[in-house]
Amino acid sequence: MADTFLESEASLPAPPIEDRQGPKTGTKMPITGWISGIYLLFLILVAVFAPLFVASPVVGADGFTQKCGDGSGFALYDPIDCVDPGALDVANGVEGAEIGFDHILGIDGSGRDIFSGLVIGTRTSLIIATAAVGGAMLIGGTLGILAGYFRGKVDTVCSFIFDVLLAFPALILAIALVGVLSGPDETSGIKRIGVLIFTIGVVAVPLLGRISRASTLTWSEREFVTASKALGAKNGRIILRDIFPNVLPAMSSIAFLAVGVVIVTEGSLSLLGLGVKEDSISWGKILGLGNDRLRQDPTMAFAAAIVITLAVMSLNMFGDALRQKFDVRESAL
Amino acid sequence: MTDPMSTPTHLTGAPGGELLRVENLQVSFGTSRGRVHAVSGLSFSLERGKTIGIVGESGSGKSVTSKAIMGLLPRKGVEKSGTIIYAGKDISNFSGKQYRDLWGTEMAMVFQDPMTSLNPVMKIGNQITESLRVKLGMDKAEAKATAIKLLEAVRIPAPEQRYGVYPGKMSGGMRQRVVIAMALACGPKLLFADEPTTALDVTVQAQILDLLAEQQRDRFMGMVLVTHDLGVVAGRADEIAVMYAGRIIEKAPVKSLFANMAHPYTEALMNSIPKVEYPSHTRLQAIGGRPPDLVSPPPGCPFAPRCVYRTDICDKERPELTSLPGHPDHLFACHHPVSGAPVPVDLISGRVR
Repeated sequence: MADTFLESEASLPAPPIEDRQGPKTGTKMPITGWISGIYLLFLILVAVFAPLFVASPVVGADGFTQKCGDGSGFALYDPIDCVDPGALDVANGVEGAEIGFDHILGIDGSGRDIFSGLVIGTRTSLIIATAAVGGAMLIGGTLGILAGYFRGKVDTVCSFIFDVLLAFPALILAIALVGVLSGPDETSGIKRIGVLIFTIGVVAVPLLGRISRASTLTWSEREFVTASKALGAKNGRIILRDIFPNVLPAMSSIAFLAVGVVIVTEGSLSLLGLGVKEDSISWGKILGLGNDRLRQDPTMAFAAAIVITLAVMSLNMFGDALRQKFDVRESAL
Repeated sequence: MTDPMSTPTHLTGAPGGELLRVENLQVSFGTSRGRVHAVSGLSFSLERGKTIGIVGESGSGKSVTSKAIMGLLPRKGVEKSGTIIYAGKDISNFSGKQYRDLWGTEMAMVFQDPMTSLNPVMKIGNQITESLRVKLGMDKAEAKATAIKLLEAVRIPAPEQRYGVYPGKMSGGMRQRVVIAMALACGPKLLFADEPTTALDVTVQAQILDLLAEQQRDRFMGMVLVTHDLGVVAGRADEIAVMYAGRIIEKAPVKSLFANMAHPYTEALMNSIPKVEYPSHTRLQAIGGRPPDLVSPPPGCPFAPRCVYRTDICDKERPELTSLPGHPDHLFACHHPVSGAPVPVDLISGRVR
């Protein structure tokens, strides 16, 4: 009976096989995912290309006054060096002063354009956030997967590292690390960015490590891992081919969340004067500077806060949407 | 402990030759309540080209037995003793590394649940070719061609197209076919099938079992078919071992087992299978009580507390495996063997007539 059934099945025309792209997911990307994804793409484009269109200051004939751009309409001005003394005078109520160029969101206390700062600062903010989270994902993820797969002593050691890092309040740990690592040599702005990446990365390691450990624990219990083993696969292969691709969705959705948290952390450190140095600009930096003059001009702090909020919100939404999209259900049928 | 089963007389001079011999296998797990003696003093042997069915209820140690022989039990907290001889080699003390050389090419396993025994994020083709390429050193094209042949062998329609499909797109029965194809890929000589049809629809069960039996015949493998269903093994095994509380309590060639059933537990198992001629709404005959706690197994017969023929001696003395008079290869462990009224079993369908 069974044989005849099978044969008839085999002689049927092959059923259409529609998928070539990815595992069966069943869910479509929600609209919030599209919106946030497009916004994130926009931010990345801004980070990459905006600094190319910056108007640098041109020193005037007298050697003192400087001019930024052609002074007409909208432009991006160098957020560090382009100072508009005219606008500063206007802000201070000096008689007969004239603004040098247009400022959509006004100027900071030194006469620099805030809007330009926010646009140009995108690059630094995103570099710090992605590098820190990327590093944390690499280190925390690796430790977490090893801990979850091998258990025993490896797990004890890795979990101990995570627990020690988690025992410190994140901000305190970050302040201490920035303080220690910056050292007395307070000159290089690039070095400070490196220190910030390292510090924030260290703070994010236990977060990603625990997630990947927990996820690995459940996945390595699955029969297909035993099945791989029973076919003679070595541990390295099982981890790379069976565990890692399955742990990745959980890890990446947390990573998106973490990027948001890191942007906020960078802002918090800036508020405390431990953000990027004078020669660089980031969202956190503008937030920090704006906080100092909240009474005179709240626009600055609020503009930075809104930019950060929007970015964090879309990161969260996008991470969520990704998780929904790639949440592979084994029994999708 | 001398075990009468360690010298299986009926196997000598068999065509396939002895492939696997297990002697006095003991497996225990450390738990917070004490050591659980999952398998105690188990012995059997299997020759190439034959199938042994291991039958028992949940917790009787049947899955642990196959995992222990395969070397797939975790090393921590597990104590394993006894002798396992595979193709003349004593593999009982093999390290994980030594076992790895056997896995895939010498012995392989078909797992219980096809829903979890395939990697959901890997195309099924890649899951099959992986072991071909690593273990047999095939190149990409060769491995793909072999994998498609394997998919064809396990009767998957349109194997070329299915090759690039993710497991999530397939039904349970199809997945189990893929799992079987994976297990067969490197040409193992010994195949363990650990409840291969438990997670499947009844309509698919027969197909999968027939497929396994067919592949076992074609490839001349030894097969250990683990199941809780006497009907499953009835038509597809050469020999049946009934396990209870970590021990074999009856072991016989299929025909002899159903014709001269000696152990009350085997009889009870048989009676618990509903029969076609029963009127509808007949109450199922379950075996009352529960299996004994394997942390402190009873000193006497492990089945005594649930047995209808129990007497005082059953509680005090554990019966040893002895052979049925006139049937040297029919072994049972009971003080009060049942009369052994022939059970009318259709050996082809495995159904009680």
